[in-house]
Amino acid sequence: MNREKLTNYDVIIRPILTEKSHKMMSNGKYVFEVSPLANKNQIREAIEEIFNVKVEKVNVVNVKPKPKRRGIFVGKSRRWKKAIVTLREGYVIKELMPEI
Amino acid sequence: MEKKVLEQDKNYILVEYEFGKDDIREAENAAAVRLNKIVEVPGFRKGRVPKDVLKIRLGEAFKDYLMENLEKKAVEEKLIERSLLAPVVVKSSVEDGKATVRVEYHLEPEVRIDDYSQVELKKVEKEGLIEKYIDQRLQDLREEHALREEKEGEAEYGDLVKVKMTVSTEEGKVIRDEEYEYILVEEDDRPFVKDLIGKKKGEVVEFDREYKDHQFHYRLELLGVYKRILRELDDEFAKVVNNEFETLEQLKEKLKEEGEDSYDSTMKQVLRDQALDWLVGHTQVELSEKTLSRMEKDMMKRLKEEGKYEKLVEDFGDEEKLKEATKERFLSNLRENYGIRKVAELEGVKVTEEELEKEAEDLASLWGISPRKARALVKNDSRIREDLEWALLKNKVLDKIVEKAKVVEVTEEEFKKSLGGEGDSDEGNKE
Repeated sequence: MNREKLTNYDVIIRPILTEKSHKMMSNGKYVFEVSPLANKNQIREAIEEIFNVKVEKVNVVNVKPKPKRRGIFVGKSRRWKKAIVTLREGYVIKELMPEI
Repeated sequence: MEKKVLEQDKNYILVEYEFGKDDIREAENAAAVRLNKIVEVPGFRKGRVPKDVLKIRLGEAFKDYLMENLEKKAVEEKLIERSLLAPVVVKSSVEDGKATVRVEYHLEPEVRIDDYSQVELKKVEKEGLIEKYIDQRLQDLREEHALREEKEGEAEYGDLVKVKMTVSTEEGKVIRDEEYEYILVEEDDRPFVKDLIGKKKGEVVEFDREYKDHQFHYRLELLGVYKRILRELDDEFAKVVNNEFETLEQLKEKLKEEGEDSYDSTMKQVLRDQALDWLVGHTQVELSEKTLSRMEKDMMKRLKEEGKYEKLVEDFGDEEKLKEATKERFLSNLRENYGIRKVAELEGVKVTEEELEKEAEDLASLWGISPRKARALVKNDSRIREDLEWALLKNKVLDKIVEKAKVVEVTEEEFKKSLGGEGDSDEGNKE
């Protein structure tokens, strides 16, 4: 995939919702799986446009594959890119913090 | 929570309950606790899934749990206790931090009962009836103790026949080979009885009969035909009936006692039945049309679920007639139940523990258990206890009405006529 042609929805693959990431949400930090080709600026723009919020900073982590074994078969988990997005104060992503 | 009565008609009330943010939060927390016990979400340990995540992952299912909690909170215990039919949540919604639950209550109706202090009840004159009873019993005894005299001719109605019955299967295996005696009577509509008429000793009647998809062959060999001679009604006859009697007069005296006991218990029940009919006809229950319509719907639904609906519609002619009959029955049951309760309340009639125990002891032999076990059963099984208590209360209330009533003695014909006339009365269908 060409780096120039990534759309917002190519950049943001899915939110990561775990006990740890949920705790981080209360500090305005949201965790996403993002395209391995996306850079911090593209992630910032994508988050701002999709969720209509302002982003303070973006941290990225390239998650290395971990060895996996199922019986006699040995392999590796996939490589993926994680983005921890900190929002500016006063902004929340409602889709991940719903109210009925 | 705010409560608002939207509609009220006799025993029917429609109430709207409104919940604010705090109530909703509380109900959400309770839903989350319940859901955490049954759902597992990847990324979270079991039981540690936050409420917000549950909302995202479960969506409508979470909302259902939330509404269930709010509905439970809304439906009032004190109204349930007074309900005739189970309350129904007709609408529930949650939006913009506000939840609404609408509940329909069908409460126990207001009951009015006419003055029962001077009810006129009828019973049949004792004298003629006892004499009739004695005559009938003597006739039965004559039939029972008839003399038999073997005859050579054909069997006729009134004769006694002795047959050897052989039943065999399709394969020819004999499964029964026994001797029986029959009195041939015209009212007996079994085909072989007709076949035996006109047969002589030594002749055979054969027929096949199907039972549970198997064919059986019956062979009746006539072993003897006997003419039955009824005994004369004299002292000798009394001795044959029971050797404790010396004379016919003694037998008649015994039958008179029997007849009087039977008369007393029958009349007691007859008067109770009339009192109950009066009660059903003179008790008014204030019911809303909505309650009746709900009852009708519930009943139709139940009949459909039980698979009886189609058959009943066919029996009644059409659905409307079935509905009408169901409604009438419901109303009649209601009038009976509430009428009895009302009189019990007015007269202070109650069933005591001793009475329950005594009833249990009386029923023990019927149930095939010891009196001690029967008492324990009544004490521990709430359903049996309630049934028994209700039956006793009902009888006591009816006896109370009979006690206050004016009992008129009439002839048997007049009594039968009065029973026929009561069926046309539509008093009591005022609701």
